[in-house]
Amino acid sequence: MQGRVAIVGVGEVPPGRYEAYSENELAILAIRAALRDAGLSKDAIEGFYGGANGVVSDLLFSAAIAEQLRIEPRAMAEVACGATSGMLALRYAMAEILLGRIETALVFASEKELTVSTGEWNRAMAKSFGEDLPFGPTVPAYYAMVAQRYMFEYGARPEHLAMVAVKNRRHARLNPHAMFRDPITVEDVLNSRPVATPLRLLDCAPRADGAAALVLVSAERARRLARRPVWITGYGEQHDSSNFMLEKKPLTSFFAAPLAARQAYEMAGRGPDDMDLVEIYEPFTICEIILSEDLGFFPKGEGYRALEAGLTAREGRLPVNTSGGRLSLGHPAFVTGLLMLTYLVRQLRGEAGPAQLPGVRTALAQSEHGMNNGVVVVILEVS
Amino acid sequence: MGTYLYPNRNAASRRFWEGLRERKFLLQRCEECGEVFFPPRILCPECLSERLEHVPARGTGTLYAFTEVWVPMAGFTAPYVLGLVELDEAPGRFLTRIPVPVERLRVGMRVRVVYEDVAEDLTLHRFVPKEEG
Repeated sequence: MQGRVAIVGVGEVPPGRYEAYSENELAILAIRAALRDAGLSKDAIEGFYGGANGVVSDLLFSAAIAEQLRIEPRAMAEVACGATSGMLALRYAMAEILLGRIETALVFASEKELTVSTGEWNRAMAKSFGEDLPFGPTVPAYYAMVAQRYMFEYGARPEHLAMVAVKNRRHARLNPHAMFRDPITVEDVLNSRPVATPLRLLDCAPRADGAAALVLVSAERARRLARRPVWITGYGEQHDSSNFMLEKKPLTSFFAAPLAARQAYEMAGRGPDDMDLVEIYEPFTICEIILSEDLGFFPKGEGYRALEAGLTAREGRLPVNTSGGRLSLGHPAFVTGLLMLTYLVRQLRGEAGPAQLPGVRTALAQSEHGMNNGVVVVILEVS
Repeated sequence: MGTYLYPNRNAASRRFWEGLRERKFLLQRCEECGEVFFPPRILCPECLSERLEHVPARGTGTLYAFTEVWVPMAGFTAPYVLGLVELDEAPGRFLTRIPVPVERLRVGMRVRVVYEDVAEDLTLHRFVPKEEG
């Protein structure tokens, strides 16, 4: 299906450790890669939109980057809402194109999460914890309680959590961009050191530095370009009235996710069964299981059974996180949303190298802020 | 004594922290719409009224989930047990510390509040299984 906005260029600095580079320099490298991929000159950029990471982004980072690239866009914005920022910058660019203000947009995000002082991160996170702060909360601890409650309600076991990590690591072996590619077993996960019970080290995605950039154009402009367009056919977004831990709703289903997914499916005129490939936001193993239910792929409480049956493996009915996922690809949280899209664009073009799956025509990516308090779902297609 | 021991202070929560000092777990009740809620807010989150009163909770509830933290927050010493408690009197759940070995805890068990003076000017709530002294 053809949409009204197309992605015609992608570039990234794959997740990793980039000690010597600044956050803005990582962005510049990803932007150049995206422009080259699109076959466009930097002068084509009319709209320039950065996803801000809200923790260590420089004030006016987008202007600093534009200066280093010597570009003079007609529109510029820094868009922020936690880890959905990248996808929200994409939405902002889409809206600008659909308003007819611009024809060509550059969307990017970059992050130094691994090689930044943990003190800065801790200070930033502490603000989010509110009244919980004096009790010593950590992000893994909150998700550990989500995992425990899910296992309590639906009968899943720690082995099922481990299976997510094992599957995604097996996928990562085929993706040269992945940070961790050596195979692991369920026993390896269960024997890794505890972080917050029942979550262990290999249940948690590694921090990473990285950057990603995409070139978006109007349908009319896409027709005049050589690059095969990947259409953005669905977009959904929903936010819960909570900042971090869901205060009132169950923790075993992320309230905003099914609502965002439904919006995206409706806009695309598609359903969950139409998806050939899916990237789910799983900073922790439990998230992939719950979200595979919330996004409509499996009934509530059956995501772990589908995983165990192999349905979400590369060879399965619904391949999930064939990039290696956050768990093995690496997780620069504020870039992850755009990294999912750059990966899926390559799959849809048939240019994913060893990771390529056959016949990928429709794909879905999901991103979130907080503990899925806000969720964004994007559907991409090739015509 | 941790780097992040002290809560983020604001206008809404000052009275709550004082209450803990007095061995009271204070909820808020909206005098206009009757909503009872926690954590503290300066406006009723339901009807946005500022006519709010503090009401002490009995401090009993149910343990929704818990975890033993092995990689601590900066300034804290692992392991320690965190739990999510649902109070009997107010909808919603909140984080607390459970100063009890994790083996003795079960999801859904009844718990009650206890208080600990952790510093000269700070008292925190903890929750323990209800049958324990």
